Amino acid sequence: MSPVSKEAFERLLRSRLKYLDDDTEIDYDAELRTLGLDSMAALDLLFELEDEFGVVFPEALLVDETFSTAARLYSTVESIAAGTR
Amino acid sequence: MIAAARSASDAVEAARDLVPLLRANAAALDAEAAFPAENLEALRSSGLLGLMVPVEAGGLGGTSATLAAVCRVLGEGCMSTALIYGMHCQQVGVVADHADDSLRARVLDRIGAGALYVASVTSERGKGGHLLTAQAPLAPAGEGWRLERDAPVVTGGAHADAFLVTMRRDPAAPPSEVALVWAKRSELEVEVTSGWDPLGARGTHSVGLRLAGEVPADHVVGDRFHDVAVSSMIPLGHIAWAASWLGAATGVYREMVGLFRDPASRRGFDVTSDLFATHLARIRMQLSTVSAFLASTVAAYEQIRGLAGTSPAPYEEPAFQLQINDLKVLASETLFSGVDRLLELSGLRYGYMRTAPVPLERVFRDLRSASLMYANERLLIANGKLALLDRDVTLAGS
Repeated sequence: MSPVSKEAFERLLRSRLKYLDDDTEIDYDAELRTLGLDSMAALDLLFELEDEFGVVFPEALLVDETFSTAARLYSTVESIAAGTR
Repeated sequence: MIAAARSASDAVEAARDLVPLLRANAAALDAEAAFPAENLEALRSSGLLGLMVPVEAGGLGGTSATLAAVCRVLGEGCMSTALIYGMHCQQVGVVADHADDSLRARVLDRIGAGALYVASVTSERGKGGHLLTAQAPLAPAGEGWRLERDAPVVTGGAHADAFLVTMRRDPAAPPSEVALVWAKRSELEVEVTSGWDPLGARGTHSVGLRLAGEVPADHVVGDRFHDVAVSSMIPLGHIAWAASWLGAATGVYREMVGLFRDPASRRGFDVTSDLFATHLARIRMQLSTVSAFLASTVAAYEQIRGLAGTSPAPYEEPAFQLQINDLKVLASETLFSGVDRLLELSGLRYGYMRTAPVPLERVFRDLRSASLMYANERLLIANGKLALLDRDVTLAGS
């Protein structure tokens, strides 16, 4: 069982995807940018993810690619959480 | 054990090695307004006291660019120590550029070996801190000169091994005829005439001194002090000061950004608010502004040196003088303002307390001295007049 709850992850992510309808499921392979995650919103989301899951993103991962898709972002949080445990 | 620097390219690394020591000593030096004796010993053995000594004379052969880089690093650890170091390098650069070969041969290798820490004696009561005039005259004494000199503010003066002193050239000369005199402590009677208990930059230990003694004739550095001042002393001084201040401001900014980013500490700050973002953006911009202007000034200075050496005419061009003075005024005002803003953003707990984990409160007090060390007002008056002479409007960096 992953220490990173998908439910909590999706709750935080969804609140930053301004073009995603409330009743549409998050497509993990969709471009987050097209769902409304701009670089400002990404930074706010970053802080929320760090606080929620008790992780710190290394500077090297603070690049656009990390925030490109939900799948990519989720696996990044998971791997940081695994590494810091 | 810290490895000594062997070349100018090692110098910044050697300075970085000293930062933990400087940081550890900074609070006590500030509390006691004490001279950083332990830091100076470490600087001696690091080889950094010889930064501005030419390689062939046993030094590191640094340029104004290396000087700025080293002062910046040291300033992150302790602004007072960086200023003391920067002013030492300013004096050494002056000796290396302008002293007679006989004096150079006697002192440069010892400076390179870390044996001589040099202080600057330019302040004098009654002349309002003007660098280019002096009242106390050199008096002929045998083959050399006798000097008797009161100076109200001498950074590090109580601990210096040697001094560069501005004197009136002889008893009949006007105050504008200045001689710059090298004097070793062992040649002088040195009396400390006043204490040092200021608001900030407390570790510079800038006490009053009375100096008296005799020096050989070849201890007068340079033919015309004005040429020494415009081609070496003023540029190196403003560059070293600005870099030390920038280092100090950057140091506390870096530490606060670490706290703003760290999930454990950032809850105390509203880091995602627009207000926080705009303040932080301005602080960062202020640091960058000074960094860029410093780099531009160093480049302009090195370009002139490369073309003209120490011949004074190109340094006297209004555009260059304006820039070298602007550097001092811009850095002192902008960095104090930036740290003031950072203090505001960080709040009472992190910004205002002496016991805070980041020494914002100390650096704020330290940087308050920047506009007063050779008063901005005087430089602005000079620049206001120079600006009228530059009808082509040759701006910095263009």
